[in-house]
Amino acid sequence: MWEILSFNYFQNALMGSILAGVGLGIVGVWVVLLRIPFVGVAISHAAFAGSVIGLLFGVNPIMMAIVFSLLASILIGPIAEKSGLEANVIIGIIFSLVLGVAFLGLGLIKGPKTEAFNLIWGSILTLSRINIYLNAGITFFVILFLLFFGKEIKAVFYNREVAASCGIPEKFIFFSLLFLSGFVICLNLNTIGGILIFSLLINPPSAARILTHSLSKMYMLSILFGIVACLAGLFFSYVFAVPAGATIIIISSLIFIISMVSRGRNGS
Amino acid sequence: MIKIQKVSLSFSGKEVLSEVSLDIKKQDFVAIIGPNGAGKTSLLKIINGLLIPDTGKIGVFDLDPVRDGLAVRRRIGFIFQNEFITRNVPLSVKDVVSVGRIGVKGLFRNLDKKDFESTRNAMDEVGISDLENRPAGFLSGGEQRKVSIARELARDVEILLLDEILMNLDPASQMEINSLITRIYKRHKLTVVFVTHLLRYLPQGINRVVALKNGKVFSDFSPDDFNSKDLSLLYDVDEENLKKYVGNFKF
Repeated sequence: MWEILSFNYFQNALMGSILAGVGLGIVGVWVVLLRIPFVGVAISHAAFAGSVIGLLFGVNPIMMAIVFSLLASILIGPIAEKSGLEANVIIGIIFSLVLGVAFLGLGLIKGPKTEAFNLIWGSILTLSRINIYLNAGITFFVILFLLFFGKEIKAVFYNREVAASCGIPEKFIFFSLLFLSGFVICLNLNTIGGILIFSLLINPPSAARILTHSLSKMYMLSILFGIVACLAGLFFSYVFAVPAGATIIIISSLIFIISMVSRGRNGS
Repeated sequence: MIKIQKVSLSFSGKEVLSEVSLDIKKQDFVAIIGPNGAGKTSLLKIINGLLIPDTGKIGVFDLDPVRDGLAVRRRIGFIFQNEFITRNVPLSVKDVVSVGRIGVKGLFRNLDKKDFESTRNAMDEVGISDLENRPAGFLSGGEQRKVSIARELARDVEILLLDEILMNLDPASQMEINSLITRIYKRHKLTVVFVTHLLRYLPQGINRVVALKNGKVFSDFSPDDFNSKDLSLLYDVDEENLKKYVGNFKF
């Protein structure tokens, strides 16, 4: 069984799993505490729309997926600010727009559309070294951002208006959180897939939140649960020859259920 | 300390403030009253630069809150009317009070011993030290108000803007918060602007009452000069009916 570790594709999958666990574990905390869980769905479908447009116009679909999802994550904050609507509403508007663009593109593509759908289903066993390097880069950047702006992020979670009145540049922090969340989600689409990433984004931090009232512990538990879900999912998918992405999600959901059951009656 | 000159502000074509002028001096303790929608909250937000007026001039500490927003806000405390601590966010009382120090500290610098000392002193002064490790979202309304007051106290601010902070509190908590505000005002020699609808329960020490109506300054009196007639004109209600409701009105 251990000979599998000597294969390049499995080593990539292992590294991809750990990076997904760390990156999504951190931005999952942001997304859950900012109460914008559907940002994952909107960003992944923006990537899908991007890859469809890429295929349609003969441009690299992965590059277009990154461009579209980054564009979506950059736009959410300023549009919410300008319109006076909640970020969740703008996420819904962007989600429906990119879905419309994706379906329009799909209708116009004459040839195979597999490459576009790969981003929706994910394919952890076909991760390339380039994927790993990109994921490692953004995960490292997210950790640095958290280290440098951790206290300001805490204030934004507490109350954006209070943070602004305390002289904290809350717009910069809020927009950065949205943008970085979009970036991490986008670069992990190959690992987990656009539909399934939602679960890995929400389950680990939610399970962590149930177990602790401390923000720093919530980060640590969320990362731990993310890594455990990814590695265990990879292991079981290999042992039982079942799809890795789906297994990862089922395990992350199980972690959430176990946390909920183990919590005291009144949340203690 | 706060100079407001002919400030006007509109939202979606509706004028919220109309040529409001007000001069608030150092250590003034001003109550701002008026009907719902009179522009009280907007006025507070203009003072600390969270809203930008359409026309007019405003100076705070001789700075322009529009141009020098961060610098002004770091010296002004603000407690919002609908401020509550959500259970969703895992922060302890100590965490929330220390949020006050974050703006003072600025970017790229961690909170240090002095900041934690200010946080502790503020909690001591407000009387919530025994709650410091409790999850802030699980506190009662009165306790949450004290946490907000401690947060602003920890910042060593010079001006305190309080927007209906007695809202949703029981009478005992209202009295407690009122006497706390008076104590803080005297001890720290602050300038306090206190927006309220609870006219019979103003904190002691208020030396001026500014009434806003339809976005304009309706009156600017000493609390002793304000009576039932003024009140009936301010709220557009019949004086006799008003007397049945609040008796012979006196602050």
